[in-house]
Amino acid sequence: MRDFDLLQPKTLTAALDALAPNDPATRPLAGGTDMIVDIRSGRAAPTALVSLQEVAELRGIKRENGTLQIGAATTLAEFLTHPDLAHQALYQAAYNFANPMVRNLATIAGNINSASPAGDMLPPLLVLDAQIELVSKSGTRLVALDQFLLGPRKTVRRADEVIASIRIPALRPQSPVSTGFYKLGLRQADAISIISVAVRLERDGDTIRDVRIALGAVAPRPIRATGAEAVLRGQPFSENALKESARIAAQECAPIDDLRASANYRRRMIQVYVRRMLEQTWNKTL
Amino acid sequence: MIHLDQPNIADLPALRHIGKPLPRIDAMGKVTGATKYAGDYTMPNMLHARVLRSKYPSAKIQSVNAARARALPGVVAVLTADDLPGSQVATDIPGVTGTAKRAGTDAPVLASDRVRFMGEAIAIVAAETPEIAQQALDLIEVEYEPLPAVYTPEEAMQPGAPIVTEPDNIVARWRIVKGDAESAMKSADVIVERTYRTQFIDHAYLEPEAGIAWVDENGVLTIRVSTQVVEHFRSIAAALQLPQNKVHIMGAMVGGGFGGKEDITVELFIGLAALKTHRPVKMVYSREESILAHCKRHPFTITHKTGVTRNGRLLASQVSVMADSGAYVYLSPYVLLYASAAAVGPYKVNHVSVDAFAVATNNTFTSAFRGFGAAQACVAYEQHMDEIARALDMDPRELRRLNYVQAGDTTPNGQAIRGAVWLDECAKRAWDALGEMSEPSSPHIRIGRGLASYMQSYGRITWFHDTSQAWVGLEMDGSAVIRCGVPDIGGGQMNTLAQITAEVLGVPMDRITVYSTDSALTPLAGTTTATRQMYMSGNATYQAAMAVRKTLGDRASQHLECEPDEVDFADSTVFVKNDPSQNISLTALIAMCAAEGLPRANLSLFKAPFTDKLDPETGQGDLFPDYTFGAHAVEVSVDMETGEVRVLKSVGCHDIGRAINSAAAAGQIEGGAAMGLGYALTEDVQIVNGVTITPSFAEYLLPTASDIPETRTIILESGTGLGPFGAKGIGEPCFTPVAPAIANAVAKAIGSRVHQLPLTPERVLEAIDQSTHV
Ligand SMILES: Cc1cc2nc3c(=O)[nH]c(=O)nc-3n(C[C@H](O)[C@H](O)[C@H](O)COP(=O)(O)OP(=O)(O)OC[C@H]3O[C@@H](n4cnc5c(N)ncnc54)[C@H](O)[C@@H]3O)c2cc1C
Repeated sequence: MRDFDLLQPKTLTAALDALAPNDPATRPLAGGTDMIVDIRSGRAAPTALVSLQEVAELRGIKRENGTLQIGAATTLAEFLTHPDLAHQALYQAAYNFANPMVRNLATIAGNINSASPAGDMLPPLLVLDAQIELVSKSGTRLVALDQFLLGPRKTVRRADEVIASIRIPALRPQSPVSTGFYKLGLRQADAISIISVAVRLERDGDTIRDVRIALGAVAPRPIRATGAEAVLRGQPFSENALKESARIAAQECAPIDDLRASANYRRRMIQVYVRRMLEQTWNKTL
Repeated sequence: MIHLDQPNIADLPALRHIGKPLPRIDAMGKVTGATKYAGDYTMPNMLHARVLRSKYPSAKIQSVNAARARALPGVVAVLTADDLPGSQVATDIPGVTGTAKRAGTDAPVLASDRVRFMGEAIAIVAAETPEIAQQALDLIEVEYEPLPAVYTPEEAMQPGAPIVTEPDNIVARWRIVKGDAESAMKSADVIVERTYRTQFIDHAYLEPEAGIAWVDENGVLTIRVSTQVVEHFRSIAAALQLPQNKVHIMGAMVGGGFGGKEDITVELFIGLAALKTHRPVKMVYSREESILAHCKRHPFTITHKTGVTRNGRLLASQVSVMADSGAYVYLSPYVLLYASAAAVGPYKVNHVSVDAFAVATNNTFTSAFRGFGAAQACVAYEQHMDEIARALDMDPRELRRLNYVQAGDTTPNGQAIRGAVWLDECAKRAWDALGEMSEPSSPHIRIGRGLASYMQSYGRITWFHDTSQAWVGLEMDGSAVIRCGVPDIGGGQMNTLAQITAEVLGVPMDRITVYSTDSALTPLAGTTTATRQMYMSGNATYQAAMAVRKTLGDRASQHLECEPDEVDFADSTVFVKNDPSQNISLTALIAMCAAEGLPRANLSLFKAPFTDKLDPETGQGDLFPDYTFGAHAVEVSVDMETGEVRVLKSVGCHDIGRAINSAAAAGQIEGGAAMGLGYALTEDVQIVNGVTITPSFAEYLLPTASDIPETRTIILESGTGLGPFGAKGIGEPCFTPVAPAIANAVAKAIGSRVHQLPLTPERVLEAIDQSTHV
């Protein structure tokens, strides 16, 4: 393990000052549950870490004009207790995330910035149209999560930027909406997803007014299954429609073989779980 | 025939400590964190050592250049094979007076000219800090010339295969022949033939390999190490060319052994470094190092061909067994022997032939692991019993019942089975305890139940001539001291000795101190392996305590004016059984004995039955002191669309002869159930072309608390074991039936079978596909 400087700014301004040189070897540090593992294994070798743990501006959850603003430093444990975060998909993802000890440390921004293909909070945030608020000395920008993620461990974030918050737009209250998430792992806790599926479904009587489907661990980054969504949008609900959507989702993904599962199995599981999650979210809007 | 040296338990009228779930003497230290493990010790002026390990599974070492590492400030020594010419880690069991060695290639302490697995040790760095030692490793330049390699026993047995161990990669072979299986097979109504495969798994103890070595003020090389075997001081002495009485092993509480600390681990590395540097040297393996470079459980391929009558009698059994020994021999010959002897399980079959090979490959070496080959055998024979039952359209429990061995029957190697055989009782109790069948939570879920029975030895192979010694003494204030070299690996080994002594001498548990695991200062008690300590050291302690009791009891009977057999000991008082008001305090009695020069202590040696080796052609002969019998039953749910398996219920029922501490016994059974669940479902050290692709706990998946259901334990006590108070061993046996029970439950749920552990969702789904296509 290489030596590094640890900076512990107390304010966002001080943190941004520390990152201002835009040096990729100076990295933000939140819970450290990815960063420290990466440093120990030699995957990361920062010369300085800017700890965000004492930056109060990055904490807290609030609603503004219906938009939910989740502070970057919100821990996964908080997702299990905060009433405003009661989206089923987010809750389920947090519930199955790692283990209680890691959940107490791991933050939502850390999960997003790590941009793992198997990052468990990403599919739920994708179906919720989450936007990432990036702040630097030179200003603030909002980037849709779908645009933010580029590939494995690659994002559009510049080295001088900090994720300040995650924003989830208001749901249209006039129609029933439900979300869901499932993670298939090789054990019940502390597992890296073989696949994951998040669904957000808006119902209008017997038709699916709108639907979003996101898939994890089956592509270089979590993806929206737009083809699978398209065949359902505006259509009457039916078993066959769900099956067709699931079949398309399995085609849309691009899984690989690894030590946890084969690409074939992953594809098949996408088909099973897209169908199941669609059915589950539909039934929950009844 | 084995002569039984069973202690006489009639001497003790009422049991006051034995069988009780008393709080263990080691409990407080463990829950408060006060207990020290080998890696917790530090010494002034101590160095930290690291091992440089091979980057190739099979290569010639052209050169090792440590000049840059030696020049790094803070590096005190870099040691290579040149510092220890020709030394080998002895791979035979210490204290064994008869061996069965075939291979001509032993494991070197440090590789000099070639490496045979990835992770083999090449050099040791001793430095002022662990970080400097680690940094120095990167500065050692090793020139390799990769050599052809073999990664499966099947390849390694091909003519012309690259040679890993001389002369032909076969490190061990056993044959067991009873009756005439080939002819008897002809009279069978039905013949079932199947092949079962198991994987490499890791011991995954909480505490990785660790130790600290120094040369003491008398010039004795002293090693404080996490080990199951303090008797390794002898092979350490041989490797370092020291007299045996100049090597001193001090144990510490062991943070889990499971067989992984049965072979030498860090001892020779730190011992050599301490001798060379004249400073204390400490080494602690990282988790990754432990997974990469220390022994694994042997993967086995076992093919059963069984002839049965239409009504379910087993007539003939032909079993072929193949084990991957990895790159070096270590304990493979014995693991293979256990698998061979256990091959047909707890069933009476008159015509048996077993043909078994352990074969070297360029994989990480394999050696001891809880169950020691007998567990892999059970994975095969118990799945096979269910498959035979299916072929006969019979209830598998009924098939078992028809064929269970009984007392007086002989094993395939011709050993008579003694004592109570409660196989049927254990199976029935375990099965019944599953209770009502769970309801599937949705249409794609199926529920299945499975059972596995087993018989498994406790105590070592009888031609190893096994003994254990213990010293028990009373102090003037009525407190007691036990000295016994037993390593406590977390199973409560020390506590057991205390509980036995408390019973025999009437001394409260909190007034007993146990000294253990010291090759110089505690009487040698042999290894904490082979489920032998309760049996061996329990008996040695019992004998020693009984000798003290005899001296004191005789003196007390004079004082109390009664017969010696009328005297009893309890609560630090010695009294007349029928009239406790006639008594003397233990301290007064001790003072009386001391004044008269009577001994208040005894050193006792317990000797297991000794036999000759098996006949090399037929494998006939006595092999083990005795057996434990039991069963495990589980209920699982399987998702028919995804292959996901959950264990919903888990029950172990075992006849352990007598529970010395019922809580500790139940703890073993619960731990065995958890470990067996991992073996069945998730654990797999994947070694691909010699490379471990599961290098850490992120890839090597132990079951978590969320995966393990509550385990019910049912302890039966036939009182017929050879241990103290009729106890048998349970440490290893309770693990053995768990994985096959789960495999049977999954097969029952899905209507087909995965013939390979672990039962990953993907494999289960493939099996489901096959059954629905047929
Ligand atoms: C045992 C274990 C189990 C795990 N299980 C799971 C699991 O089930 N599912 C899963 O998805 N992940 C899992 N992880 C991975 C990890 O816990 C998560 O990705 C976690 O969310 C990372 O958050 P953190 O706060 O610890 O990030 P850190 O490790 O501190 O940082 C991670 C990355 O994010 C950057 N970063 C952090 N905060 C900010 C910010 N505000 N702005 C810009 N960049 C920032 C850092 O520079 C770094 O690049 C597991 C990890 C461990 C060790």
